[in-house]
Parts: sequence; structure tokens; C-alpha cells
Amino acid sequence: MLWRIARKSLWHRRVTVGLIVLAMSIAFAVQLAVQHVRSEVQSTFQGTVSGTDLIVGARTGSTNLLLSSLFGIGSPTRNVSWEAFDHWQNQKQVSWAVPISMGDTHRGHRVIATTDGFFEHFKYGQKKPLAWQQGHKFETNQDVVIGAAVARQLGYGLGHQLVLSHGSGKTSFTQHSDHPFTVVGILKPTGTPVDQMVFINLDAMDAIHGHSFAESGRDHPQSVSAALFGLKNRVYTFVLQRAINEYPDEALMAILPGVELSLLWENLSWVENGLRSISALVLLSSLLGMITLLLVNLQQRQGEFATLRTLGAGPWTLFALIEIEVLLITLVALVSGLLLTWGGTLAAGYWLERWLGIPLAALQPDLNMLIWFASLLGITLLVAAPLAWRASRKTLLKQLHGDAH
Amino acid sequence: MLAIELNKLLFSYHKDQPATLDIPHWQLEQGQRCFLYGRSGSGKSTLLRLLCGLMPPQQGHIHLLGEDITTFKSTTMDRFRAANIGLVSQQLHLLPYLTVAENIGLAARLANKHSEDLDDRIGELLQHLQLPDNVRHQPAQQLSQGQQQRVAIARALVNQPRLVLVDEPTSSLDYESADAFMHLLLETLEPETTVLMISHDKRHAPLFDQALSLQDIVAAESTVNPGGQ
Repeated sequence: MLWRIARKSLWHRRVTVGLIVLAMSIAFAVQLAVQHVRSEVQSTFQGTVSGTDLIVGARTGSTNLLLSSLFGIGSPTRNVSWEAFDHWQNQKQVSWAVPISMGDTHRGHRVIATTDGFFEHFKYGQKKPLAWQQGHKFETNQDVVIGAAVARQLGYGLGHQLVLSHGSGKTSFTQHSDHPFTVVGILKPTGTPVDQMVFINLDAMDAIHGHSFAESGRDHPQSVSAALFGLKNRVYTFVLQRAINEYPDEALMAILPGVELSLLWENLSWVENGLRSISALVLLSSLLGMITLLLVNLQQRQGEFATLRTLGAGPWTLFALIEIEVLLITLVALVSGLLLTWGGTLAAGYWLERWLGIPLAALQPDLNMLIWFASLLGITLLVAAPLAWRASRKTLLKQLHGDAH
Repeated sequence: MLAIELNKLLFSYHKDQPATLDIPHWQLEQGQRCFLYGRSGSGKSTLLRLLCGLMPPQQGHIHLLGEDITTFKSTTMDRFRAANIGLVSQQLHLLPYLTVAENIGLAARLANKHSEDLDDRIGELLQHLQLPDNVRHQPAQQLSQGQQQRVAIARALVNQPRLVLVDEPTSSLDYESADAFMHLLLETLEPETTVLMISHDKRHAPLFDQALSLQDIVAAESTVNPGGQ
């Protein structure tokens, strides 16, 4: 009976109730979206690389090495000699090693010179390998492979010719015009910095700078910027890391990418906390809105409550009626907020994947969300409880007292 | 048996103000229909609310149908009121968003008297009160003022209360409509039902077994002015 009265009463006041449901839905949707985007960004960020046990570069700050080797941000302080790289890649614990050289760009996109082993061993997310949208690996010094975002943003396809620029800045006055490249492969989007990169082979990097090692009769460059290492067993990681860090012949540094990514994410936690605070404030303001509406509403419904009391409804019945109304408002707002976020992330996910190569999965309800829903319901009912209790106890007497004068 | 018995009843809205009501003793036999009149502000509505147990007196006892309601806890009083008292009042509106049947049925449900024959009972009441059966499923807000008042009577009587309290239900009606309303109300009541009606308008007094002024039952030395505040 109370459910029917609550439902009909809410429908009777549908315009004002609708407005508060809308405000609460938006607040819940903002909360859900912030949580979802944060967790997606975190998993994408921490999945920038997987399956790589160590990144080795010249001794510098660990963040600097991480940013320059994985994100193409900044530059390594020095190079690693090929002899040092060769020494460590031949250690018995090492399963594979991929050298990378940096220094050039193409229209703002970082150029990575590497071996074809990069396409075989580099993994991201949950150990997902790189996949080809079109074409294949580079085979000659004129071949270039581009990331999905490069192809999309610059409108490049297979066979497109491009010229690299010297230096790592966005603007360069030195073009390697005498050494044009042809796009032979386009990678599928990964949602990692790989999408924004241009790949050539190691010899091509030397060749555009005027001294191809192959033409000089060597099979390797003199130095590389950094190297990715995969080990046969992860138990060797710390042993090898310490050995590299203590290598007497050259000042080297080895970092664990997973650990460094987590530390970097923690350093960015102020952004996360800021977003959380804003969404909490939005939620708080919508709860205050609901309380205001409830207060005004309870004032207007004193006659209705007095009627119910004289018919035999006790204070607890009125309290339950008001709380059921709050429960229904919150439930509708939560479901609307969920649908709003689900639709929003579905649309945004499609757009982000298509245009920026950033994966954003549509919101999927899970146990945590159910717990969050239950908590919000509990908080709303608790916030409304003192008002409902006051109304159920005092309204009738105030109404009667008012009538008597 | 007595339907109402008041003993040394004293009530004031504020502790530091003179008593609004001071009734040494008054009683009403079961089955009697009593008309109690007094000018506006004399404490008539206050008396009715005390009889409904909606507010407790500062002193004294109220016996209804043999029970001392001043000893009742709030929840006991709510149940007693729902089961035994029908209240017809101009102020007590119908819930506009419920249908006529739901409004009437609400009283039965709150008194735990909801039964399979509730629909039949509602039908009978609507027929007695000359309301067409098709209003049953109409929202109360779509009815005319007169129809709403008749639905309010049906709601007050659906539980077949032993005591009906009537609080100036016709004050906003012209004489003819008020007269028709009163006849309808009294004809719909079971013969053994006790009725106490309060009003400032003595015109309907002849329809009752007894009529008395509130002034006749309050204490002679009372500071209350039965003629008004």
C-alpha cells in the first residue's frame, strides 16, 4: 500500500520530482564516468608495455628513461654503446633484447629506429602483441612502419612517401629530404604511444645521418638510445637489474617498466584526486537539492500527512512513506545515471578509438558498482531520515496547532 | 455503556497560557447522536482532536468505548483510532492522486480491515451516498467539491466505526447543500453508531438526539471564553 501511495504521489509531483531526478542522475553519471575513465586510463597507462622485464639505458633518472624510451617524451642523456648492449643481450638469463634509437621526428611524431624484433616482442595491455592494420615489417632502409594514429592524423596509406626531420622538436629546419621513406606497414591501434610513432630500421637511422653501418661493413650501429629486455624467467629480473646498474665498463641503468609506470601513476594521483573531489561536490550539491525539495515538499504536504495520521497511520508509517519516496527517487536517478554513463562511454569509446586510438570500454556493471549503488542508496536514505522523522512526528501537531488559531 | 466520558480534562497549547479547554466531567451514551456548538475559537476542534487522540491532554482522562485513551501509547492510539473512530472534517482532504476506491480503501488498510468484501462495501457506500459507481476508479482530484465530501464520508464509515466525530464539514456549503449533506451523512450511519458533531452553526441541531453548547460542559470558573478566543 505504501509503495503504491509513494509511486502515485511521486507521479502526481512529476515535474519537480523529475527535475531532482535529472540533477541526481547527472551527479551519479559524473561520479560513474570519473571512476570508469580513471580506471580505464590507469589500466591503459599501466598497460603501455607488458612482457618487457627491463628497459636499459644510459644512467639517468628512472622517470626520464621510462618517458624517453616508452612515451617518446624528452631525450636520453647519453647513448648506450653497442658493446654494452651486446654484452647484456648475450647473458644467459636474457630471452630477447630489442635496441631502440631515437632522435628524429616526422611532423611531430617520434621516429624509433629498431630491429624487426620490436614487432615480435613488444607487447601491451594484457600481453597483447602488435598487429597489422595493413602491410608488413620494414625490410629495407627505405621502408617505414607507422602507428595507427600517425596514419589517421596525417592521412597516410601504404606506399605514401615521407621525409624525416632531424631532432626531436615539433619544428625542425633540417629535413632528410635526400632519404625519402615509403610506408610499408600500418599498425593497428593499441591505445599506447606506439600509435603515435614512426618506425624505421636501425641502419636506416644511420643512413639518413650519412654513415650506414651496413655500407661500412658492420652489422650494427655504434650505439643505441635504449633497449628493451625480456628475460627467460622473471626471477632473474632483480639480479640482472643490479648487475646492469653496477656494470663497471659503462654507466648504465635498468628499470622495471611495470614498477616505474605504477610510480609515475601515483605521481599523477593529484589529477585523479581532483576529479574525484569535483564529482563528490557535484554529488553533494545534488543531494542538497534533493533535501531542499524534500523540505519544501514536506511543508506542502502537511495536510496530506495529517489526513493519513487521522486515518490511523502512525509516525513510523509516515516515516516509511517518505523514505520509500526517497528510495524510489534515488533508484530512478541511479538507473538513469548508469544508462547515461553507459551510453556516454559507448559513444565516447567509439569516437576515441576511431579518432585517437585510445581504447575506452563501455561501462559494465560489476560487483563494485553494486556496492557503490548500495552505499549511495544508504547515504541518501540516511540524509533524508532526520527530515522524514521530523515530518512524521511534528507535521500533524504543527498543522493542528495552526488550525486552532 | 458510555461512548465518551471525560473526567477533569485540562488542555492548553502553551504551558504559560490559560487552558484552552477545562471540562470537569461530561459523557455521551453509546448510540447517541450529539450536536455540540460554540463560536469559532471556543475550543471545539481542540476537543475533537483530543477525542481522536491526536494530542494528549495535560490533565484528566478520556474514556472512549470503555478504554482510557490517555493511557495509550502512540501506536496503540493509532490502531484504536483506525479501528473505532470515523472522522469527517472539512480540513481532512482526500489524497488527490489516489482513486476514489483507493482513498476509501486506505482507511480499511490502515485499520487492518482489508478483506475480500471491501469492494462490495465501497460499492454500497457509494450507492448510499448517491455517487455513481463509475467514480470508483477516478482520481479524487477530478471530482467536484460535493462529490469529494461524500467520498470523505465513505472513507470515514468504511470500517463501520462505533464512534463518528464530525468537524464542521458543511461550513463552506450553502444551506441547501449543507442540509442535504447532513441528511445523507446521518442516513448512511448505522443506527448504533455514536455521533458527535461540532459546529458553530446551530441550524442542524434538530437532526440530533441532543444539542448542547460547549459552554455547558466547560468549568464555570474556567478562563476559557466559550464564546470565542
